[in-house]
Parts: sequence; structure tokens; C-alpha cells
Amino acid sequence: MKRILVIDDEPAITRLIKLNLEVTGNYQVFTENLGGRAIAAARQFAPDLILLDIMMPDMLGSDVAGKLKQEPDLRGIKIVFLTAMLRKGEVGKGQTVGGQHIVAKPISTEELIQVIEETLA
Amino acid sequence: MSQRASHIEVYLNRVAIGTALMACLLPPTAYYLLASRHLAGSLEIEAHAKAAIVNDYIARNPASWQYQNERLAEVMQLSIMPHADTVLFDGAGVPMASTGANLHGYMMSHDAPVFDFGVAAGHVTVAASLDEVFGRTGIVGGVSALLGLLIFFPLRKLPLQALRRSQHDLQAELQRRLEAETALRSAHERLAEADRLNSVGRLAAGVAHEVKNPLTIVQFGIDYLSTQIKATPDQMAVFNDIRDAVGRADKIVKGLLEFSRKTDAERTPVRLSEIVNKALHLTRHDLELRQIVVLRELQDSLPPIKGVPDQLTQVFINLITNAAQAIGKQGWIKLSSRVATIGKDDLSNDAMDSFRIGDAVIIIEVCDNGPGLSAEAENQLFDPFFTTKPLGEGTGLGLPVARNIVLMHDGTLILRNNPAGGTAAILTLKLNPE
Repeated sequence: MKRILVIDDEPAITRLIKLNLEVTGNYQVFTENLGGRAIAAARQFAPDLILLDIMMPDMLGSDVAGKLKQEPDLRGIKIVFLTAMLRKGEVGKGQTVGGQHIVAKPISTEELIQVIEETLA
Repeated sequence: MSQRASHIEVYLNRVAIGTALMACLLPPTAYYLLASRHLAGSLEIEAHAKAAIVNDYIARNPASWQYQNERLAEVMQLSIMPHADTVLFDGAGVPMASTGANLHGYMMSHDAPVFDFGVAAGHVTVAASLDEVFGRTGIVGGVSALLGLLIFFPLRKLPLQALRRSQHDLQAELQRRLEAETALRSAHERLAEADRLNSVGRLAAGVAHEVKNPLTIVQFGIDYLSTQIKATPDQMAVFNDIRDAVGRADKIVKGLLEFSRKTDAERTPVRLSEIVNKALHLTRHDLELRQIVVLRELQDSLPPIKGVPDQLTQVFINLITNAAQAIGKQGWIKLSSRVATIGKDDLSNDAMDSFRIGDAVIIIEVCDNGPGLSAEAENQLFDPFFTTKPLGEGTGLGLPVARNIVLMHDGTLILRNNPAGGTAAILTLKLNPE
């Protein structure tokens, strides 16, 4: 079973992503609502992939990704950015930023699962 | 001519007539007065001279002078005025002697008394004809009349010409000022619009971000509920309606983000033919579904312009999509291009404020054979969210976004009805000098 860590400041989003992914039976999902606790959460849950919101009030997702890359035991974790600020024409399957996948909100669960599987493949 | 100018013209006419009349009348009048005064003076001198001669003769012939009419006539012949007639009258006024000049017509005369031992014995009258004075006055009058004519016509014309030139210059200056005021007002309006757009843009960016999270929650919520409920067909339909609504709201929000975006992206030399080809490639499915034929009359050798490729591609995607939606099904879209130089007539269009006379530009037209623009649409084309499309087809942001991008590239975008039918979107951009 794949381990997914969802980091987003919106509790409803983390809760719903957890419910939608776990109902498939293929994922174990952990959630965190503070960017500042991302490193600790990653160490605690040892995920295969992190779904990381970019615009968080306490710390930007891009900064969290930077800190993760600096940790030798965490830099191998795959990251998929979630953002509300993507422009039309820039959202596409396989879109990457700095080597990481990026998807725009809102996104359907089906599409999210597709991106997770492509990233972990 | 204005009413004021007509009054001035009448006034100038009167001045010219008055001056000409004065030129005609004054000289002959002055000549006549001077000549007649001169004649009068000469007659007076002559009369007194003749009276002195007669007085002298009377003094030398006191007893007999009254009977010596012929002798008196002889002595009175001595004259400084050869054309004057001299007549000696006795105390009773009866003529006694005359020099015999047979004068007729208008005459002027002067009397001088004669004395016999201090007693008035009669008078001498010297008279001359005024015919010569009249004749010379006539000559002077003729010359003056000619002078009057020479004065009248130029005096009437030249100030009028100067007035008309001055009026023309004033009108031209007024026109220049009006045009400058219009251009200034237009520039103010554009500044105000840019400021409004900037404010709307900032608001749009904020709203977009704040709306997307709730939309995400709705999307994921529906996804989860649909796995938990053995939904009836109606319930599935409701779930799908909610998903569609999220999708539509997301499109609008993305359009708002497009609207708010600034050109921070780097501009590089781009070939518009490649940009258009890319836009056609991205819209080909929609065009094929609608059975719309694309006619390309683009020059592949168009010079490059400086721009942001993705943004310019977005412009043409929006224009092509707008044209396709206008057509509906079965029709054509034609894309043509040309290079031109901005002339004075081009600047009369308010949309051409970005250019100066002499600017080299590329003009690309996207024409369709749709129903054309209604009067209402023409006025609101670029208003955000204005749309004539059915619900769900088009957010009303395509044209405002396209125009915003074009403006940020220092170009212009206008839409107008084609005389032959359909609509033409005309995009004008400055050439990038190589």
C-alpha cells in the first residue's frame, strides 16, 4: 500500500483527499495542515509521496520542498505540488516545476490518482 | 462666415466706400475752393487797381471825365487780368465805360469805389468767368474718381482677405486644440481604464485564489459521496451537475487569473506565423467538430515581433475560439496578414493610440462568416463576462483577456463587422526592428 502525506492549510481538503484516496484501498494517507511541521511529519510517516500545497500561510510549499531536499533521508520522497494559482494553458498532465509535478486545484480524485501513479511509477 | 465676420465685412465695405468717396470729392472740392478764392483775390486787386487808375483820371479831368467814356475805357484796358471785364458805373449805377470783354456763363466780380474830390462818384466792377475754374475742377475730379476706384477695390478686398486668413488660421488652431484635447481625454480614459484593470486584476487574483479552495472541497466532496452512496440515476445526475458547476466556476476563475496577469514574462523575438499555427493546432479539435474550414493567407516570411509566445498564442486561441462560437456549425475562418506603415488616417481611430505616424506594423485579421456583431455587442465586446453565447459556452473573458495581452504588447485589437458579412478581428502589433 502506498503511503501518501497530504500537506495543505485547508483541513477540509486534507480530510477529503484522505477519504477519497483511502476508499480505493490502495493508499494510506496522512495529513498535516502546517507547512512548518512538514519535515517532522515526513520523518514521522515516511511517505512515498507528498501532496504539497504551495500557498500556505506559515510557509510556502516551494520552501518546504527546498528544506526536504536538504535532508538526506527525505530528499528521495516524490512531491506533487497543488496550487490554486496556475494559469490557463499551463495545466497539463506531466507538467513539472523544478522536476516536481504540479497540478491545479480544483482537480478530480480520478485525475489526482493518475498523477500520483505517474509520479510513483 | 460667422455673423460677426459678416458685420465686419459690411463695416469694411462702408469704410472702403467712404474712403473712395472722400478721395473722389475732396480734391476737386479743395481745388475749386482754392481756385475761386484765388480768382476772387485777383479780382479784388484788379478792381482796386482799376479804381485807382480811374480816380487818377478823375483827379486830372475833374470837369470832363464824365463825358470821356471812350477815354475811360482805354485807361481801364490796362489790366493784370486779361480775361476780366471792367465796367465803370456812375453814382446811379449806370454803366459808363467798359473794356468790352463779352463774358457769359458763371461769373465772379468785385467792386471798388471811385471818388471825385472825396465824394463817391460811382464804382468799378471787375468780373471774370468761372468757366476755366470749372474746367480744371472737372479734370481734378476725373483724376480723383480714378483714384477713388483705385482705393475702393483694394481697400475692400485686402482687409477681407486678411480677415479670412486670420479666421482660417483661428479655425485651424481651434481644430488643433480640439484634437489635442480629444487625444488628452482619450489618454486619460486609457490611463483610468488601465488603473481600473489593474485594480480588477489584483482583486481577480485574490478572488481566484480564495475561490479555488472551496471549489476543490466541493469537487473532492462529490467524489467521496459518489463512492459512498449507491446513487439512483437522479442522484448521479445531481453529482454530475455539481461537477459541471465546479468545472464552469473553475474556467471563470482561470479566466480571471488570465485577466489579472502582468507581463513580467520576458519578451523575445517571435514569428507570428508560428504562433498562429500553434493556436490552430490547439483549437483543431473544436474546429473539426464544428466542421469549420480554416483559410490561411498568412505570409510565412512575416518579420518577427517582440512578445511573450504563450501569451500571444492565447490571444489567437481566444480569437479563433470566439470566431468558431460565432459561426456555430459549418463555416469558415480566414486568417490573413500584411505589413503596413501607420498613416495619418489610421490615427483617426481611437483604438490606434499605441502608434505614431510612420510606425511599421504587422496586421493580422481573423475573419469569420458568422452572423456579425449586434449593436449591443459592439459596445460591450471587451467588457469582462459579457457574452452572447449560450450558457456554458464561453465565460465572456476571452476577448477581454486577448485585448489585455495585446495592450501589454503595445498593440491594438479591434473587432468590427465585415461589409461582406461576418466579423473581423484586427490585431495590430509593432514590428521588431532587427
